[in-house]
Amino acid sequence: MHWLLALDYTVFTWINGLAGKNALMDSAMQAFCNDHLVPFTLGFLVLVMALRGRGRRDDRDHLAAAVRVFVAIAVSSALLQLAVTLIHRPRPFVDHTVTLLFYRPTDWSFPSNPATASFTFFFSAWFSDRRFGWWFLPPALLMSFARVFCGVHYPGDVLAGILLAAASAWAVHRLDFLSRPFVALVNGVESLLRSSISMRR
Amino acid sequence: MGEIFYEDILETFLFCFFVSMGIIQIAAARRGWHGLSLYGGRIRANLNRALGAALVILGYAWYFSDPLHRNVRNIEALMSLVCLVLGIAAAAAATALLASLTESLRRLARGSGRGKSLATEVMEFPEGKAVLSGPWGERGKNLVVLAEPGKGSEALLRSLHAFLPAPGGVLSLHPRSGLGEERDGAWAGEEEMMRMLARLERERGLDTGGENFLGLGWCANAALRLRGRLEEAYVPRKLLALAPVVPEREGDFAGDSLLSNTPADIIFSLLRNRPWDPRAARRAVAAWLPAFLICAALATAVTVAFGVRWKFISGPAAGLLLSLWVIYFPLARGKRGGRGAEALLVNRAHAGEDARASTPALVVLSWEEAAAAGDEGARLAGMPEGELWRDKLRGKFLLGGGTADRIAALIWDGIEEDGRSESVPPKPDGGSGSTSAEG
Repeated sequence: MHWLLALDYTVFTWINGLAGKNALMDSAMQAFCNDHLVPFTLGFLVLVMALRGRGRRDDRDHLAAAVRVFVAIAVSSALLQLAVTLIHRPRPFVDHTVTLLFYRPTDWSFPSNPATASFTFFFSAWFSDRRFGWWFLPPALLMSFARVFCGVHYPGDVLAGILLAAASAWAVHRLDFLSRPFVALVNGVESLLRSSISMRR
Repeated sequence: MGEIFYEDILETFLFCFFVSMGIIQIAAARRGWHGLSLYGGRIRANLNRALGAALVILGYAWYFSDPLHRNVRNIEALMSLVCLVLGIAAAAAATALLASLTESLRRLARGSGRGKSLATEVMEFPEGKAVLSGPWGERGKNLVVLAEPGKGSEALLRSLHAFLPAPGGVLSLHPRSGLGEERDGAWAGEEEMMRMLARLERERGLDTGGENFLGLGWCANAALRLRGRLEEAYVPRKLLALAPVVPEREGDFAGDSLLSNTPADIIFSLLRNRPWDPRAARRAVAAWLPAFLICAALATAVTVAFGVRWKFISGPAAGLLLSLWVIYFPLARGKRGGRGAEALLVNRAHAGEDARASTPALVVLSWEEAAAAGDEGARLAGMPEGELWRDKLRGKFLLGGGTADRIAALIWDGIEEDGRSESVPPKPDGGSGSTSAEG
């Protein structure tokens, strides 16, 4: 276990060592690291995914995919809270000297919350829509890398977040009963509204 | 904990709201959703696209121009997610409201054209409403229109009475029952229209035997289903089914209300037609309510115990989601995977056995149906031969573009210049050809 933590720290020093050397790079990483840019962009991508179909048949699949993303987020958040309750790993800047380009988060480091959330968006969208799902990957990767670059997470935290996200998204995708009631509700509303075709002036 | 960034929550919500609204506008322009376009509808799709792009770009520029949103501690992940979901919901609601408002202003500005000066006689019956315009002429030169229930349809028929170049009178029948109302497994409106025809002949002496019949929208399907009965009682000269609803292979029906109806139109249409089973709806609410109260109490206890932010809002909200999840399984047990409104109404799209009667019939499909299911859908519904009007929208059928003349040509082709019809069928009871009524 010790060697694994040492390896994690070594990789962290490689990535965090790049910080503070180029102002432009630092600004870009700070932008990707922040709590709003990538998560909200991923959220808007879900809306784009839901509306991107060519007909009502597409829309039903895409709406179901969007619902599954949010259910997967709920499942991954619950698993994350469980992990955080069980494992208390301090942030890198607590135990080591790091180049910190971000504010000092006060919660535990393992697993990475932003990596879990952003990769849940990616995996969940990708499981449902193999073509559009790839659009979720670059923001998720950039945010996860930026968290290590800015000194607020170890690479191991990010890796654990990615695994947690993949497991949650896969479970929601495979265990249909988790999302079926919400998919049925959304499809029912869609059917009610869009089938209300009438002649009018 | 303890820090609450109220101002930031509002700004984050507004950011989500504006960007979501922009995305919806871009989608509306791309998909041709006239009913959701804020300005200009389908005609000015590029303008809506530009408006949507501007909202997205300005939303991002405004929100991230504040250093608070770039690299300092502010609202937590859960509140961000709540802001996102509420922002999207509010954007959808505001789009619906604004799109309905702008379209009603456009309709107001357009006015009702020649329809304002047209003299029509409105007759109220227990089965519905009948509207008569023009002098009831010789047999074969008049038109009987079977129209959908609802205010939108009545406004459409006012235009039809005004714009249609009819050589005789035009009688439109508006049944009282909404499309969701059944009698003996069939739509109650069909029987109401037949009764109104009989009543008009009996009480007003209005003879519709040998006349042209036109069914509009859902009533085009009804007219095809009634073809045999109409043939038996009135021997129509011709039957035109204009913009019927056509089913799809999956068991739903083709067409998309958003293409030509605003959200307000859709809501009024739903309230009028009530396409749901009221007993099943009452059962579902009765089962869900106690489940919601229990789930909300449990979830609120958890949020209070763990000190979750806004515990008395987040608790019931979580309880609502949980209750919907829990109640779905017992309610869905033993049910086929039908799709609500469509599952209930799709049978009404089928033309039935009567569609094979010998009265000459023509089906005209609008762009919505043509684009989605076209000929295949019409065949599935057992409809007779038809033509596709790819340049016409269902909801804008009779406005501009010479559509009224096109309909008139289909109905009255074969009527000679001096007013004699080439193929006037004999009256079923052998009586005289034409009667007149006040216009």
